[in-house]
Amino acid sequence: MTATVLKPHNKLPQYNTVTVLLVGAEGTGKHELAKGIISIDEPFSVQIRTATCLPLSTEDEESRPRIDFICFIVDLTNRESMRVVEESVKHVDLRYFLGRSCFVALKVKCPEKRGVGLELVSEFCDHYGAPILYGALETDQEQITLAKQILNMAKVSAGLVNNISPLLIDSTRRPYDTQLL
Amino acid sequence: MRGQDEVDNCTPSLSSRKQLFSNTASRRSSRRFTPYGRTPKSRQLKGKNHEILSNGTAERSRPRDRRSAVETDEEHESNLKGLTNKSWKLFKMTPLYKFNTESSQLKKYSSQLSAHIEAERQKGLFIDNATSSKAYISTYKGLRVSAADKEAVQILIKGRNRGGFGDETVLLTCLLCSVEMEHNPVEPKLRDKFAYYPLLMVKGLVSLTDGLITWMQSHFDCVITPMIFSAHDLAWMVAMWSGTTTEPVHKSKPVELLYKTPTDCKGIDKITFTIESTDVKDLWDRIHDDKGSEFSSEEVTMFINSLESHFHSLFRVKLSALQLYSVGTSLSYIGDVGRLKIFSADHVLWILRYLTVLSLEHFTQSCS
Repeated sequence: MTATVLKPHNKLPQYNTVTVLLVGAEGTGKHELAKGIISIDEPFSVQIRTATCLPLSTEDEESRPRIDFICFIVDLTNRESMRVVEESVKHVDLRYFLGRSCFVALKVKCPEKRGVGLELVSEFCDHYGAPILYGALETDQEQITLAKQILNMAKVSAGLVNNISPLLIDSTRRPYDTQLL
Repeated sequence: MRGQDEVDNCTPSLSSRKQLFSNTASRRSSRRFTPYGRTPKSRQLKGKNHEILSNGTAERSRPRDRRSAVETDEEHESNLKGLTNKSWKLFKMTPLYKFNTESSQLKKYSSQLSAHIEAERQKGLFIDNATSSKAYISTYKGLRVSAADKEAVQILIKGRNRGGFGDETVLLTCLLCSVEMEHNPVEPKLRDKFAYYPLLMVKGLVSLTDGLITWMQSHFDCVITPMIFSAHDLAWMVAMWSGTTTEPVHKSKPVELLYKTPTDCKGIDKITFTIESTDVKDLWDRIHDDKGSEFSSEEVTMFINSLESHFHSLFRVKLSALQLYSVGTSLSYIGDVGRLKIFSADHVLWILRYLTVLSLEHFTQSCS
């Protein structure tokens, strides 16, 4: 069981590199998002890994780099994607939820097609104490905005920003559900 | 005197009206971190009180003649029955400015609406239509439940067939209603000027419907938009209503879920999932806690998930990845673009109450 849990600190970091893992069901647009993140010009190199669900396979355990940041992708029109995320989250180490992960809710703009309740998503994120990014991937602009937001957080969790740690970011965050305040 | 009258008549500008109708701070604070609307965690399954206010609260307090009470009850029942087995198109409305339900006013509106339709007809907009048509507007009793509700109003447009022979037939039926609204979103000081009906139900020709809507929008300064249900709303409806049956269970209609397949999946555009009502009832009884009158979102999720996982185990198709666009239960049939058909007269108020709540949610969310 312990082998299947993804941990942030069991490998050495690579020099000047950010590694992001995107987890989401098929058809949620992981690859578009990955292309968006890579297209941003930054002074460090960015690696993206994608997975349709966790746990990751144990075969290429050795060759896999240290994962700095995890994005869980939920397509709000697709209830399957929410289920996949709910299952995957169980295979992630606790320390990832201290500022080293986020949830991405896609296709928020068309409420008439929505299949997953927003309150369900935000409640779920509150349980895990991770932020949600709301966005879409339909236009280039939306894609870049979302990619920038993700990269900003990933940068911090890879330790590339002076004097800011993921824990600091996490402790300044507030829960989404106001009843918890 | 005249000057004051003019001041009374002028409509507030759009921006100031937004402020006037803005909802209480509580909703705004719950949406602080998301700009998007959300649904509550649980909903009332039935209405709180099933007693219907017939002619306002004043009459209720007065001891009524027994016979007349029976008569009004019968009238209400036949009115409710009149709503069943028709396919309605649903719209939502913003408050109507200076709309009055007095019979003299309604008569005036009907002649104005008749004139408007006649004018449109002469422009040649209704090709497939009858020679001349006339509008009749009246109140529709039996739908008013809470004190915040207004008496429902029915608009009928009748006309003769082409050539002018035969009896007048009803070309369009339209109903403005609000059923058990919890609170009126209109500010108290504006309530005598703005009448709020969350629901507009229309059955009739599309061209006539368009004509009616343009007339209402220009005449009462309101906005009428089609009511669109998300897959999430539909899941709520099917979960809430599939366990309630009127007839003996073996006779009632099966529960139906219609799913749209993605566009890149060629050769198949929808999947219909039909389940016997006895089986659904069995499942529903196991999931729903019978004591409470509320239905929670966990129960909805569990209900839909168990149906879909059953389908997956049989056919290896993940329905949860597809988009639910239409649901049918023994009470009603509802499609995502605002199509509604009610089968059971006993549950008309339940269904309309839920639709009122949804429309009200859309309205308050767009204002705050």
